[in-house]
Parts: sequence; C-alpha cells; structure tokens
Amino acid sequence: MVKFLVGRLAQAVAVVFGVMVLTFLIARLVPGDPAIAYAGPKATPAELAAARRQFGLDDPPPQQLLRYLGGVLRGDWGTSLHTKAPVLDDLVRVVPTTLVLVTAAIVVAVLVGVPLGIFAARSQGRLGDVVAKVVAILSVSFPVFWLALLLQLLFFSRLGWFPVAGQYDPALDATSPLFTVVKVPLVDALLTGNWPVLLSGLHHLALPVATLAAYPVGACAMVTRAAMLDNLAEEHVRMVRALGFSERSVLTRFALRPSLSPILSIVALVFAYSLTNSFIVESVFNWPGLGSYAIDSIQSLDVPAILGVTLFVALIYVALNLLVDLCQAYVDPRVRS
Amino acid sequence: MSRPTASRPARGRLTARLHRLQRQPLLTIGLVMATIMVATGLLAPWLAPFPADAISATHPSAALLPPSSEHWFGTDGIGRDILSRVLYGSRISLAIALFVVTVAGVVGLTVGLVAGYVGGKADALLMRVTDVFLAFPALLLAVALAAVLTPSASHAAVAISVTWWPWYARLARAQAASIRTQGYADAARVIGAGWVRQLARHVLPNAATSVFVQMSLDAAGIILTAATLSYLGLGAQDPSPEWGLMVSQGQGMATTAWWVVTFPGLAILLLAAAFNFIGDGLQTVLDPKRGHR
Repeated sequence: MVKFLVGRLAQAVAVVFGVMVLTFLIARLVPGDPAIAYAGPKATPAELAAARRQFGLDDPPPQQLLRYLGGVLRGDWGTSLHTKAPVLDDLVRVVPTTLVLVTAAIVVAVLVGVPLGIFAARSQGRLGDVVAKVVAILSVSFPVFWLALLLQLLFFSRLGWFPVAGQYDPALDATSPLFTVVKVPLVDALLTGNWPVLLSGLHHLALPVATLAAYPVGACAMVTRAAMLDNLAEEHVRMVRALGFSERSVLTRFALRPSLSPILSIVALVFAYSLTNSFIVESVFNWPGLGSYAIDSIQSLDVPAILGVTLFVALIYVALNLLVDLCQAYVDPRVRS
Repeated sequence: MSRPTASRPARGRLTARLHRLQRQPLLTIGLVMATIMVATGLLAPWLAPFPADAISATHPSAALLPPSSEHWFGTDGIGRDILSRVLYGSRISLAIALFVVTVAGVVGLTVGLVAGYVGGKADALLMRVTDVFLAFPALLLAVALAAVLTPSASHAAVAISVTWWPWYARLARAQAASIRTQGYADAARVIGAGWVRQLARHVLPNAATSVFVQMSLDAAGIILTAATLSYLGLGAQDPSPEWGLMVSQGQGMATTAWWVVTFPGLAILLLAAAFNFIGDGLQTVLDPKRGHR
C-alpha cells in the first residue's frame, strides 16, 4: 500500500508540474505584446520597456517559466487586470459560493441518478429500462446554457414559482439580518440558525442546482446501470439467487456494493465537470462565484485571471482523481498491484 | 436476454450483428435523427425559406415575429428567419465535430499506437504528456485556449481538438499494447517488418474499431462544447447562424420572444442526443462482451 501511495503521489506531482507548464504555454499564446496589456495602450516606448523589464518579458522563455512556477508555488498567481487584486485572493473569495452550488448539484445527482440506474438495470430490456436510458441520455445532451434559460423562462417568467437570480431575498436583510461567518449566505444562515434566510437561500438554489445537476444525473445513471448489469451477470449473483436470497438483498449487497467503485469515479469526474459548467450556470443565474468570476475575466480578456481559474480547476481535478484512486486502492486490494 | 449463440451456426457474424442492431430501438432512433439533421444541413440552400437570412440579410421591420405559416420558427431581433438560420446552423456544428474527431483522432491514434506498440521510454513520456492534458476538464481547457486566441469558429474547433486527442491516445494505446502480445504481431516482427509497416498493417486496423465507436460517442460532447464556446462569445461570430451564438443573441429578448432561444437550443439538444443514442447503441452492438446491454 505504501509503495502504491508513493507512486501515485509522484505521478500526481508530475501531472501538476505539467499542468503549470501548459498554463504557462497558453499564456504565451496571447496575441500581441503582454507589456501593452499591463502598461496600457497609450504607453510610451520607454514605459513599455519598463513594463517588459518589470515582468521579465525580455528573459529567455525557460527562465520565465521557472519564475512563473516559483510564483505559483509561493502563492503569487499574478494580478487580475480586471479586479486589480491578486488572483489567488480573488479565487479564495469566490470559490466557497461555487462549492455550495456544485456540492448541492452532485448530491442531487447521486440521489436521483443512482436510483435511476438501479431501476434501469432491474428492468433490463423492458420498457422501464428504455425510458430510464432515454431520460439519462437526454439529460447529458442538454446544452447547459439553454437549459438554464428554459428553466428561467418556465419557472420564473411564466409560473413565478422560483426566483431567477441572487443567493437569497435581499428584503430579508431588514427583518432577519444575516451574521457572516464564512461569507456564504446559505452556510452562514445554517450556522447562525437564521431560518428565513436559509429557506430563501434554498429557494434561490433550486433552479441553478437543477440546471447544474442535469449532466451528473444522466452520467451517474448510465454508469450505475452498466456496473450493476456487469455485476448481475457474475457467477456469484447467480449463486446467491440460487441460494434463495431476496431480490432486494441480491441487488444491494451483491450488485450495488461492488458497483460503488465506478460510481465513485464518475462522481469525482462530474464534480470537476460541474465546476466548469458553473461558469455558465452562475452567469445566467447571477451567482457570485468562481463561474461568474471566470466569465468576467473571459469577457475582459483578463489573462492572469483566466489562467488562475484554469490552474485552480485543474488542480482540484488532479486532487480528486488522486483521492478516488486512493479510496479505491483502500477498498479494493487488486488496484494496488 | 438471449444472445445469438453457437446453437445457431447458420448465422454469420454480420447477421448476428444486424440482428442485435434490430433490437436497438435507440440506435435506430439516433441514426434516423442524425440522418435527418445531416440531410437538412446539406440541403439547407434548397430547404431554407429565406437562405439569405442565414448569411447577412437583415429585416429590422420584421423583427421578433412569432412563429407563423410564413416564418415557422419566427424571426429574431433583426428580422432574420430563424428556421433558415437553424437549418444552416447544423452545417457549422457538424463541420466542427468532423474537424475535431478527424484531427484529434489522427493525432490521438498516432500517439497512442506509437506509445502502446513501441513501449518503453517513448510510452512513458507520451503517456505523461497525455495525463497532463487529461488533467483539464475538456470545456475548461477549450475555454482558456479559445479565450487567448481571437474568437472564431475555426479557433474554437482547434481549441476543442487540443482538448480531445488525449482520450483517443489513451484508448489506442491500450489496444496497441494488447495487440503487441498477439501471435500475428510476433509473426510480423519475425519476418522483419519495420515499425511503420507493423503499425499500419497490423495494429491500426485492429485498434481503429474502438476509436471509431468512441468518436461517435464524442460527437455529442464536441457539438455541446462548440455551442458553449459560441454562447460565451469565444466561437463563431455574428452573422454566423451558429446555434449557441443564436441562443446567446436571443437571451435578452427571451421573456417576450421565447422562440428566439427555443429553436436553436432545441436543435443543439436533438443533434447531441442523436449522436449519444448512436454511440450508446454502437457500443452495445460492436462490443460482444457488453452485448447484453
């Protein structure tokens, strides 16, 4: 196990190094002179030369790469051209709000997608299976931005059931003022027992989470179905069926439990995928998190911020994959060899 | 549940496959949907009631007309016929998908086959590079790349290709590595075939099937990613009738004119769903081990 752990960690470190090199290379693709972006379009040649010296743009590329790597490791992720603040500070500020959104979507996906997959596997080859499969395939085929707009049109404009933007009703600030703890309204409301704001927050969460959960629901359902069918076809399932175990126990103990490993993998994958999809969901629902920050930086061509977001999400992705591998190795000794 | 087995020796492999195909209603639906959308895209100049609206014509006096017998899908904010634009739009999505699977497929197959068949240090190096690209969610890397390039449909296609090849590389590598241990590969080596000949004659044909299945599965993801890039302003630009761009342009008027965003978005959903149905069905038909699905 220790050998596996060390090997897997070394691999993750190598990938992280590669990720940083790749973001550095993308930054170099930016057309035009980065010095102009820093010094402004009206800068004199002397000012441009000064900016170039200050950012070391005259140095040979390998030296620039080393300086970039050193900066990233020390927590210097550059300064956003848009907010004028250090990119890492911006990220720390916006990420918690997004984590609430993405986590809620993943919880919904597991609660809906996994039972849907089990249902499909149980009714394999019958109508129920086909219907479940169609639902799963459609939900991974929705363009996220369009689903967000449709839900807004239907549930806000037409029916008026759900609010369209923001994290909670600002009118509540007068009647139930919110004490900030972690600066995420929903979590703060929960921690301080502010029920009106909590309810309003959940109400505001409904549409963005429904949009964000569509893809993970379908993906979880398809993976669960496939894994369940694989396991149901195994000898040991035929054996326990012959021994007269109840169908319920066959499904949960002998088919679902060995399917947990692929389900765990897909959950980690759709988590990272949803972080990127939050770009669109947050901008449509005006949710002030990582996604809105990313969209703002894309629209203002704020290259340090774009690269900061890219690097951050990629690092989370690498960390999640590592975590899943370690969990699987812990549960299943075959993975370790 | 019953699969074609040895008890029916008269059936050839092809017949058995056709038999399985018959019992895949979703694959059939997907094929029909995709065929219709490809055909309407190719025939757009003849089918579209107002072909000029898909290119540069504007009719401000006819703005935001609801669906009617003249404009089946209504008109957009500057009076362009949405049906005509949606019909032309499928050409853009399909062209991008074709470009990406071709470029990513060729690059991925080459890298994967060399890594898997040659093995050793080349394998280790190529696979570490692949790992780095796989460490980015596809949409994220495409967004970052498209954002630093000047926005256009072709740059979006290039950005998506850069994010897509590692999947094919990994798949092709696994296939090539297993082919390497087969008897016929040994035979080719023994009679002195060079690396290129071994790869082209013996490994490529055997590794390609799984990559082709993966390509049809991926077409949906590529179409969705391309539409998302355009929606974000990082892909096709006005007056292109790209579906994601059309949704983005109609977003501001969606509350008063639902048809402006509904039809282009529906087209994306249907095309993506068609390819997902096909990919899912192909996997079932072509993979005998998974034939029961």
